[in-house]
Amino acid sequence: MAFQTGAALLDACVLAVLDGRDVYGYELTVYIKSVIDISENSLYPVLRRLQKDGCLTTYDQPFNGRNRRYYSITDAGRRKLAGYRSDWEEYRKNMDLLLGRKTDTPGTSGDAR
Amino acid sequence: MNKEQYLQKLRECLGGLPAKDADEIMQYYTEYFEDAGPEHEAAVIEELGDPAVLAAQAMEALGQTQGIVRNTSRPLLPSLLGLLKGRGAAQDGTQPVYRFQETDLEPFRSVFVHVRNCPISIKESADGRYGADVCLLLNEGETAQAGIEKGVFSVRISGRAIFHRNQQGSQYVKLYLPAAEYDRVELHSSNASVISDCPAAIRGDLKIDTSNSAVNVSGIRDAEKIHADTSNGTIHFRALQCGELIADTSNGSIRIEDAACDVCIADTSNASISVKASVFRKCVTDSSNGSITVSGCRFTEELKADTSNASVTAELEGSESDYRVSADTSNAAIYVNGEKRGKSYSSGGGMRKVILDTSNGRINVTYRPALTKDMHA
Repeated sequence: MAFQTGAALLDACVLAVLDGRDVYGYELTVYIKSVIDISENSLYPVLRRLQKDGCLTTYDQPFNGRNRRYYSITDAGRRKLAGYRSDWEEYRKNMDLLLGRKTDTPGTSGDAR
Repeated sequence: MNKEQYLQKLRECLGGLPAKDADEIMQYYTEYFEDAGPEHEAAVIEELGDPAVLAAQAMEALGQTQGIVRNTSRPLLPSLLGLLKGRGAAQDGTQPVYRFQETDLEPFRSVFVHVRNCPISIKESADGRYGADVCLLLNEGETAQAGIEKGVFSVRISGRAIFHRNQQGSQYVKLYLPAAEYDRVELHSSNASVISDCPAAIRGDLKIDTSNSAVNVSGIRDAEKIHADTSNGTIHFRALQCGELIADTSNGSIRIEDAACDVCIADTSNASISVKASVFRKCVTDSSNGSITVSGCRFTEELKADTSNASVTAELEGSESDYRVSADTSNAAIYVNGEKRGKSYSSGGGMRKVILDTSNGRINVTYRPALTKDMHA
């Protein structure tokens, strides 16, 4: 894959998963890894950052005699996610404009700008 | 290495963090291993990679979010030590011995790396307070780590340098710094080009000088000053955030992209200068025989471009009324938005000052709407 998933996009992906339900670290990594190619060590910093920004909270739940830490989205996180979603929509549209069609590019169609 | 050993190494590498932070990171990765299950243990170890690097990443996240490194008299040194230990152990399986007394570590805030072709040699600090020379003889591709033992304490370098060979076969040095905050980082090199790629925040200055090779710096934030000096090489600054950004070369070209700084100064005698997609208060570019191009930049106060025997091109965001332009050429013409305007051109009562000067080259001034507006039109 030629395109890299930057910090903001990773934040958005994590928030989007959490918007569905609370997850624990390994589960989150496996899920995101199943969709995009990221390294296993890239999510901890993301979770940490989001937690610091108040976008998520954590709680521990007993599992097999130990604790599992779950991550849960907050209202601030949902607002952030909504912002990311609209930014993404705009970004996607713009990229489609540039990459999506072979003809109709500025300069050939004559209607640039 | 099994899970226990891996986590043990990670714990060592986190040595300098407050216990609470280290515990949290440990809990995350301990849980991670448990949830992955014993059948995936080896795969997880491989995928997580070098515990020292993992620790550095986690600490960087903490540094960003909590500023634990900031404004403390004792930065991440003990963890730095952890990094060095971790790396040493990971490489040859033996644990290098570093002895130190914590109280002696406080003033250690600087990194000095002197590179003379090969080998790399790490010198004592300028004030001589912590002394002992270390000279590491490196084979190509080896990782440099320095430990010093003299008297009480024994750490010198907080980064690693790797020799690479580029396609032309010449050597260059790449320096990685762990995520910590440094007062000052200096790199000196005679004939090896310097590539600095620092995830770290350098609170003070980054100074790089080399005689005959290129300097390539990217990804540094929060520095007060980034200063590159070379005689015969090119300078390439990319994605930097600092107070002062200074590029100085005699015979090489200068390229600056994606910089955000207060003042940007680019100076060369015989080659071109290009400043792109950057944000600054003031930018001064000076060349004698090379062309100067400034495009896609935003600035609040002043842009100055001065050359003698080549062209000057300024692409200014906005319209004529946003700027106060004064352009002069002695023996060629000035073009504004493609239209010929004679040998002198001044315009506008805008706040932002633009001074363009050349003797024997053409000057091009183009006003263009901001890129973002273009995209939405």
